Amino acid sequence: MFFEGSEGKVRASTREAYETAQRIGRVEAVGLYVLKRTKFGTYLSVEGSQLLGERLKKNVVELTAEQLERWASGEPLDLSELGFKPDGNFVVVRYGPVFAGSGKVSRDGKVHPQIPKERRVPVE
Amino acid sequence: MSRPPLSEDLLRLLRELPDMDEELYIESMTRPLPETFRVNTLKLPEETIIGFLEERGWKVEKLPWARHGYRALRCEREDPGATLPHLLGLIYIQGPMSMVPVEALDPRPGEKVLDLCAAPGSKSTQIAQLMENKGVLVANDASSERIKPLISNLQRWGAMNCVVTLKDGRYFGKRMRETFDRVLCDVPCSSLGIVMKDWAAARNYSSGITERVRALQLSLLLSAYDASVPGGTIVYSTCTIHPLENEWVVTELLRRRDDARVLRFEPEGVRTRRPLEEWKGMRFDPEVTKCFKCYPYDNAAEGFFVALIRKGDGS
Repeated sequence: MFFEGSEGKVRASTREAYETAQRIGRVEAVGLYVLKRTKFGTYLSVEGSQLLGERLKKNVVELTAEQLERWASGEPLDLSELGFKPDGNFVVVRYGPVFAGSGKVSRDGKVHPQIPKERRVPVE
Repeated sequence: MSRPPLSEDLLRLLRELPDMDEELYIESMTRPLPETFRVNTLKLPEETIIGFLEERGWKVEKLPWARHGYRALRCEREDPGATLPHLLGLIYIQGPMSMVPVEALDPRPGEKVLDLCAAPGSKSTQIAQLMENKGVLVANDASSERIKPLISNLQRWGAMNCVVTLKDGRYFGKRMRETFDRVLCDVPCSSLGIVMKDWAAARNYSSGITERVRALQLSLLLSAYDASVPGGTIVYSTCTIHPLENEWVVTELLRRRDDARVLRFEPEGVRTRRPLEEWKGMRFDPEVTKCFKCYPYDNAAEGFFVALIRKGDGS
């Protein structure tokens, strides 16, 4: 099941987990953060892309191995380099079966990875 | 490498343990742990992830005692925790013996499971994986500082069936009695089985630490036991070598809960040793000899103690 928490964040949970949280009352977190709705659009978390990516019909970009490395380090990628024209201002990226989160498309034609800093691969 | 520093109390303890080889223990402190990890089958099939790792230059070997557990013989970077597979949540870096308690717990999809002292979350993610994200896992910790890494590790792992709570572990035995099918009670301890990760544990150890912590360990185990349904499974585990935090705690549980039974648990491919029946004039319950115990030098890994306990079903 999906439910909306604070700050427009949508989480996925099992019914048993949700009901147990209700019973306990004060809890720190329930289920998995999947996506966030903002006034600019909807962004999938890394886990949201992995959970829902195969069901998306559009705005999914296939990266090369080299592009995936740059993406995972937090580097914006050029749409022209990707050869991709998105419908809207967000895309989800994948490398074969591995989904790696979503990105925000800026006016200058770049896709900015929405990956938390602590989950970016440090540049060697 | 220089000889690691050991406190006087630790040296005394090593000499008082009848089955301890002091030199081998000290030598084990200077050896880094093997790089081991679990593959996340909540996200992709195991063979797909292994293929992804091999494409990136990893060479891996299966661990016989842990489902989805591997040893990295070669890794793309010196620090596996800074690699893309780790940061995407496709693998979880975890010590080899640290995987044993959840294998003993053997959680199943659809059950209600409690991890009483869950932070930073390596065992909780392992539980969620074996539950196939079905049912409910309550991952609790008493430390507000440690809750944040617990939540982010569960998120990275893609654990959907989790409720994270910040409570004194003794809450569950009082307020959620007979609720959980399985309870993991991996308690705070003197950490004398993982001194290769942190020499400070050996340098700063005093017998006062064990005296303080064993009362807490017992109260947490009693809480875990009371939170379990009749016929439920409880696993008590520590990463220490001290009999007062291991054999004594389990003996006290058996004395205070007369329907508790210890089950034998022998993980495949791991060298184990027989727990003590007596120590310094204390006699432990003979049932404790069924527990799993190993010292750091037994498997060139962490030292661990694991008790698999079944609660009576009232029949």
